[in-house]
Amino acid sequence: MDYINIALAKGRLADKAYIMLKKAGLGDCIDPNSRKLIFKDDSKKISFIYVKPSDVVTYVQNGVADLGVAGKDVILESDSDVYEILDLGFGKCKFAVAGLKGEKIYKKDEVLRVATKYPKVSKRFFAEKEQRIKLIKLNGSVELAPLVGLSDVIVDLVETGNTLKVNGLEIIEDMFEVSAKLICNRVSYRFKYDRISKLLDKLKRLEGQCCEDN
Amino acid sequence: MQYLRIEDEINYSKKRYEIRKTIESIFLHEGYIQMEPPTFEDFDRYTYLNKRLTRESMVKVIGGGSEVFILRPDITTSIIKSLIPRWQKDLKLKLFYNSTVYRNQESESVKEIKQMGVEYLGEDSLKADKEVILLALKILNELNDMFILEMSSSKYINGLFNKIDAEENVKKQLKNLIYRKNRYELMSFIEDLNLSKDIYDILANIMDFQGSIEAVEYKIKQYYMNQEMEEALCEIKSLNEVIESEGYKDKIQVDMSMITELDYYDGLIFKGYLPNSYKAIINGGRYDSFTKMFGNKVPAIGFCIDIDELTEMKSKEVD
Repeated sequence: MDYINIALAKGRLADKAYIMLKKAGLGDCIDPNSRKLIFKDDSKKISFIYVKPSDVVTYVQNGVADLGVAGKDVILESDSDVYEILDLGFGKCKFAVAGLKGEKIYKKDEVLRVATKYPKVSKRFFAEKEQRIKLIKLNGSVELAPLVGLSDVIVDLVETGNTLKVNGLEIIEDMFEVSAKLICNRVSYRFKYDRISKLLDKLKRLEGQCCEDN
Repeated sequence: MQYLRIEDEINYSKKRYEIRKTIESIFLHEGYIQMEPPTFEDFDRYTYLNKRLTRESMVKVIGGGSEVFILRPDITTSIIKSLIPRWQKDLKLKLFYNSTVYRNQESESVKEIKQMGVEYLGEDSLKADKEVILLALKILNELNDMFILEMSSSKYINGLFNKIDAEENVKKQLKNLIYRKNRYELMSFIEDLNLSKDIYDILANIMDFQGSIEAVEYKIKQYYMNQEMEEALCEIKSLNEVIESEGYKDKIQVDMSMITELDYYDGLIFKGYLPNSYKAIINGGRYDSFTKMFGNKVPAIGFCIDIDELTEMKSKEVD
């Protein structure tokens, strides 16, 4: 029997995914304190790989992993062609537009300058509102951009809002919520349908009883 | 460290040639005639006829008089465009191609994509459906007998969507959620749509409408069906008989929630998968209404084989 390969995102979602898998009786081979990137469970024929969050989709789409745990934010940003077969209920946060506290009107320029790690999501959002924007792609510390005058607003994921607050920013507009998803390669879905369905049932039964969110 | 040597490259090319030969001989044996589509197409006319390809993805070439041409981005359109406008009544054609299409791709600029496929034009629907699906099964079986063929009829979803009273972009979003088998977001999306209970129940369960034809029939009969949806079920059932008699029954997965990337199909749709590949090797379906855009509505069905992915997969097998 073939292995089922599951790609897990390092970072924000890793611990919660691990707890969930543990509860489902699947994650016994994983040692969360190890720096190894591959874990194999020979008896259950499951293996796990740890990759960068934004790469989970790539691994799954190319079939190297059959399944993957990825944030909806990453999925939206990647133009992927995978199945999103389950919402895992954890890793909840929201996309929002934020700007300097108290400043609500931007009319200095003819276009709105938007700094973000998520150019595709931002582009789509503002295109729907027919707001012309200039995108400034950043790779981190996005909150800095309006403070130093690099942009008017930012588009980012907001979990608690603390980072915004301490930097004197506030949410101008909520965009939509995101959470962690179980994604699946389209061919694996066919060839491993029975095993994937069983795994889905196991995870569905856990819903609500694991990973209480903050 | 040594990277790929010339011999490796030649071997790969040899492998690809053998695969093409194998498929070609099956096509010839089944009475298909080879057709070479034109390499260049008129840019303006092509984009007018085929709106689903983005203008950026087409590879432009400037002619001597500054006219803009494109390198063919798709073979079915090229074949249809040259034959359908002057179609003769009662003509029946079984055509195959062994060719290349060209697209601009973000990461690697111009990409050559090798494709083979068939188009069966002018034949009464059910007869052609049967012949073409058996041909696809035969080829898949020749390549690897562990294959899976996924099929449906787009009439099921089309029939259902005709009953949904909503704007086009809402329907598009709905289709996209079904395409991605995103049940969770689909549920919350239809919650707000104010649908009748019949329709709501189908959408809420549509991703379970898969398995053997008997299982699928049993499931969908418990829900609402209009004439078009009934037709879809009939089409699949009548194909099931030939598939069974040819011994391919256990290779078939019916999936009524199947949605294809191209939206010109109207009837049978199918995809062929091989183990160890990461995407579909065969994509096909019936596209009568697409021919109508070229002046005549002619029964038409065909499929396309991804030769690049197939070669890669086959050369992995050898290792």
